[in-house]
Amino acid sequence: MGSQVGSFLGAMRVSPRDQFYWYEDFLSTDLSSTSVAGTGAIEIGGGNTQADAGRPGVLGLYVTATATPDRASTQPNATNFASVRFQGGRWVIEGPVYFTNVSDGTDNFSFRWGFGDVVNADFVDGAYFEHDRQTHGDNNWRLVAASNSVRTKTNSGVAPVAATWYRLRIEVNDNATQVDYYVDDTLLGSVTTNIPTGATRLTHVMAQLIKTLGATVRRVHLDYLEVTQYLTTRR
Amino acid sequence: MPQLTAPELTTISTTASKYGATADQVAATNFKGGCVRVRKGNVTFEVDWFDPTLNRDRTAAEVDALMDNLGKTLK
Repeated sequence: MGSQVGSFLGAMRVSPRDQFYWYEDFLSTDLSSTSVAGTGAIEIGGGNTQADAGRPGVLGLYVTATATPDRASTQPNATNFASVRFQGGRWVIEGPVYFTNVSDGTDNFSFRWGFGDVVNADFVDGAYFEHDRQTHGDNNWRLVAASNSVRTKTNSGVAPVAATWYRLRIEVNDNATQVDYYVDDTLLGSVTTNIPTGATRLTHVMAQLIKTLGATVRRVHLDYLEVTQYLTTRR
Repeated sequence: MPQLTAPELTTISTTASKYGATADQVAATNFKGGCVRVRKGNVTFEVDWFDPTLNRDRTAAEVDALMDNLGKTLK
């Protein structure tokens, strides 16, 4: 039986020649780098992050005030924000997020999640979800593609609420001509303009929280981040 | 951080109106530089003043050309 299981698992294994795969469960910050400023902070475990049975390894992004700049972000590497080049195969990023509070007009924040490349402002190149009441006047998810600081932001018409886990997923197709945005496996919409392509339009993987109004603590929790590229041609 | 002059904003607004969109500019804040936004329905196009590739601010004519190109994709 054991050898049969072993054979089955061996047959299921995907070679890195065919697929890129990266996974972070936030048991520590060993794999992920973080960047904070002002009162921004990163929380791993302990009483300040969501203690949720069945969700081991939760990272909290924490901000308090609008003092310039008050922010927290996590990314695989804090010195190289150019790890991802679209095209060459379908890219998929997935991960659950949880807002302890959403923006309410008194205390606002911007939250960006997905493929991005800047810790303290909107992304130059990327494909990501955005929650930014201060800019848009509502809490709806924006479905964003950015290329050289020119962006398409589509209002999904769907807003996250507090104290709920949402599993976000972004898929960039093989040739980077379309990006699809999913929440809990439901397609919210697609973007086909301003998708970054080419050797000078590299992006990265990250989640970013910036306080934009008020001085009350706001937190966003991340359960895991999973990134896959299904290579079109074997490397 | 540059701001559009009234005639420049009028030019971009005229370009946006060809596609049934409206244009406005957003001044720099603590968190991001200024930009121009063109909106129609549920879609917003946003062009930052600063061009990272050229390492300089975009001119009003360059912003207008980008908006014209993006406007063509609006239904």
